Amino acid sequence: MIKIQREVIDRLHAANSGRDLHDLVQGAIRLEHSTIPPYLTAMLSLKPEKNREIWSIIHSVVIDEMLHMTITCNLLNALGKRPQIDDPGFVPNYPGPLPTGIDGDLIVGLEPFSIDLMGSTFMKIEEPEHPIAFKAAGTETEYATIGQFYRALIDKIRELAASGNELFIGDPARQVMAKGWYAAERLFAIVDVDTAVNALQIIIEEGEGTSVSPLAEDGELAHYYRFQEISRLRRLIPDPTSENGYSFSGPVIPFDSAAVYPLTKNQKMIDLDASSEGGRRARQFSFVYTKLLKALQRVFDGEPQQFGAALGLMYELKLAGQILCSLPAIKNNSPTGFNAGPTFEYAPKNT
Amino acid sequence: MSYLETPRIVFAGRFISDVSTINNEDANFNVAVSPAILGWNPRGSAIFDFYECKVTAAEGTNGSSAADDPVMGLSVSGANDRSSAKMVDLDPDWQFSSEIWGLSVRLSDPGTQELAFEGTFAVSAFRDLFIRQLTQALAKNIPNGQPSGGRYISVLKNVRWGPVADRSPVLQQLRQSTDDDEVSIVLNMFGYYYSDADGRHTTGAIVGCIGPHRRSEPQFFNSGRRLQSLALPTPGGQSTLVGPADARINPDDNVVVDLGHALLISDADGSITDLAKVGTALADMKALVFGVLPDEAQKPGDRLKDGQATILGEIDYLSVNWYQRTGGLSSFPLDRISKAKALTHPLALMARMSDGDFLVLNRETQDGLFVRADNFVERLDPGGSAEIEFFSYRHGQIAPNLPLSLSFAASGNNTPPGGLTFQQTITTDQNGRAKLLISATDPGQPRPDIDGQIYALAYSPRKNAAGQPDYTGSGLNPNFDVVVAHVRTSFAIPERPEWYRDIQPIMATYAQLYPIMNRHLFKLDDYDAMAEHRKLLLLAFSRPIEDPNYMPVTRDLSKNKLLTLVKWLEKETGDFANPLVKGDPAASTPVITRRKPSFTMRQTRELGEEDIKRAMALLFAKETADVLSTTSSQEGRP
Repeated sequence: MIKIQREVIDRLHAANSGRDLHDLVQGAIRLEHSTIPPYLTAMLSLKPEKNREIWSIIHSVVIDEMLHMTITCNLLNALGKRPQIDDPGFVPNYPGPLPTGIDGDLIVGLEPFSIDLMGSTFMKIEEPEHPIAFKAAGTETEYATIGQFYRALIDKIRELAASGNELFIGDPARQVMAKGWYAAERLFAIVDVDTAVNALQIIIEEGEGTSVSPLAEDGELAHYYRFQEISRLRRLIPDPTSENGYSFSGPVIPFDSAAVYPLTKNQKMIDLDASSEGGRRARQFSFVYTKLLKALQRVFDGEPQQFGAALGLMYELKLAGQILCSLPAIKNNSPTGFNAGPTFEYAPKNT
Repeated sequence: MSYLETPRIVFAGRFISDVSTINNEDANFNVAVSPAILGWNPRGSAIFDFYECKVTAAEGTNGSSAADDPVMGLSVSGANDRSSAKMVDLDPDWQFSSEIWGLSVRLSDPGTQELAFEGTFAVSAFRDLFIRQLTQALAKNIPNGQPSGGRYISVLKNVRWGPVADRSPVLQQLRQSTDDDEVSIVLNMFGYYYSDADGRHTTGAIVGCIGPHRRSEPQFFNSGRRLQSLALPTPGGQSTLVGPADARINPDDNVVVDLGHALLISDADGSITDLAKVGTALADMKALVFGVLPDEAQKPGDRLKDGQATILGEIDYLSVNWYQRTGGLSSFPLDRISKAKALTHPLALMARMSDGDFLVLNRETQDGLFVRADNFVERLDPGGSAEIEFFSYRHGQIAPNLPLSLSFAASGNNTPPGGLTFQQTITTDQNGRAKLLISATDPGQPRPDIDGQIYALAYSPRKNAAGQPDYTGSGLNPNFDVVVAHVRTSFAIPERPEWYRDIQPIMATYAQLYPIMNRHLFKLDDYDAMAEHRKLLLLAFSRPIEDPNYMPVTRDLSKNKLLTLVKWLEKETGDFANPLVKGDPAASTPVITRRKPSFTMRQTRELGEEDIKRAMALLFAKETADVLSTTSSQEGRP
């Protein structure tokens, strides 16, 4: 599991006003976003027309993470603070701890797909607190999980509102609903305590599942279990004979290990010859990625109707990434033996 | 007024044009057969964008120097917060005016990203295609693969000015001198890489200019004066030695000549070729000069003694970085006498020879008459129509009351002839403008696998002996300078569209032609994939056609087929919970299992050469060559 810095939780507990929550929610936006590049990298490493079931599972999680990022942006806007997305500092440096995570704990990188990657990283990112190991926030623990962080945030929002703080002072016109893309039950305007709590609850459940089921309330398998399905190459299905009501006894998920591009781990633009096609397409990829951040900034700066344009860029990013990943990585005029990987770097200028 | 006047910005850099190539072959539209010829970029996405482009020079009003202006070095890019523009052909049978859709042009500070200005590039098609890497093409040694270059002239609309513009005197002058917050732009493109052995695969070089625009002027070509291209006999047939050039006498008594898309280049980077070193005809050439011919009778190749022509000045085209510094533009002051001469006599490029004679190279059109269609690429559904606007000039002045004749052009398919109706004669008004109405009726299915038909119309103020538009001396290419329309086959929107019967036959074509979608995203010809991505598809199929996310990217689907797709995806109610109608599999058009396209280098290389041959053949078609040999110019009869 991602261990959230103790200091973050302490600050959350110490918050006395909506304003005190701003940095913490901005951190949550960065955290939600930071899961997308590793997931996309693994997805893009799958060769065209091969391993499509795995591709679809990872893709479905990416779509959810986009939703979670949108929800946290809605929350920050509702609290009257502008989310900062179009900013070089918004982009994590991979490999490294995820934003708000503890240094030296879970190090997340940009790597090609492998079965091991599911257990070593993706499941850890999404891992729920084990009920037995659960320790309440505010006790001696050195860390908290993402779920605990959001639960603490819910508690704080309730507490501040109950003590008379006017929290939801943001312009409701900045709320993004993306009608037609996400169901109205999953993405809605945050305008008060109830809508804020409901929205945060969705993030917790979709990542971890509920405390009694691997499913979130919408009936979809939580991310942790979707990645676990891939790691076992079996679908998780209801199983009355099993203790928990579910078992990995569903259909086999096919996997062709030869149909994965050997991507350069944690690819940087600078590690590709500028004159090579991989180098040029990496720069294009970073530029499209940066355009996506700028488009999202506009969406959350009061132009929710630009959401479609942002999705258009997401689609372009996927295409650019697929082509990039099919190219050899060339450095100092020689192939490195690996393919070029997606470069999630902030590049506002197409050079 | 256009970038031919000042203030003017010059920029240079590179572009990416990731055009797809499977749709270049008619045979590939037959979905029952695997594509045999894939072309040099079968997984193209149609993306067009600038990269590494920056402002390399600027001139203030009246040509004042702007070397220290903040505009220098600004980055020139596409939009920074939406999808890339797209470059698409009209049709496999018409690949000679590829258009750029959904492009924004943005100038900004490369360090701070602060905006100078951004405007929407009015959709336009390239013109004046010719082989610029001639010596390499003749030696069959073109590392980049595509020796031809083309140029786009357009306007940037709805220009938004940013803080950098406030600090730049040149941009302030531009803003003040232009009409309607629109500016004129030219993109001269060349040095395109077919070869995927090179990191520059699917990219090329660009030199462009931006200047003011007048609402009374054409948007997609330069008004004023036109110098005809100059042909040269080569072992491979007639070739263009100097391409078409535009010129204009500006109100400040300067004459400007635009060689931005006229000179040969020796490599893909745009190193200008020394004319004295192409063949032997100009071996004794000492300088390239611009001037005025003594009378209408002079032809290319004529020698004039010193004093016969009015020499306005030399063009220092071989100096270091001349192209990137000037955009290919040169201007010369006119005194009273030379101005009087230039206003009424043919302008010309000449070679000053070692014996002091002047050899006529490119000369102005016959009698200074220049007539061109502004918009000229149309997509028409049965019952639809479009207005084509023509502008006419004589020695740069508006030419009113000029009859223009029209007929089908040899470069179109034009069958059945009733598919496109048009006036055979139109006459320019007192402003030298004329409108042509073209109307479409259902052409049926004259091509078995491709929707509709391609029609091309030739036009000219002159008629030949057969009563057809005569391009001799017009400054235009009879094959390419036509009005071209894709007229779509009639299609009735079904009451209740079904997958097998109505949708799959449409999508199967796209799946075959654009494997990037099928291989990398989802299968367009698969019901489940379509259902899964229903929302995305509905968004894309419902965008305005100018939107960069419009689907189909190629913009070649008839209105009713598009509406059928939308109707099916919405399933009338727009309720996504309703499954998409599948219908009876028996209603499906049989599609055999296709062989998977394999993308081999070998094929890519061979096709590069094939494309060159095809371009050469079209550029120097027999009829054209016949005329060239008599007039030494590129014009000919359609």
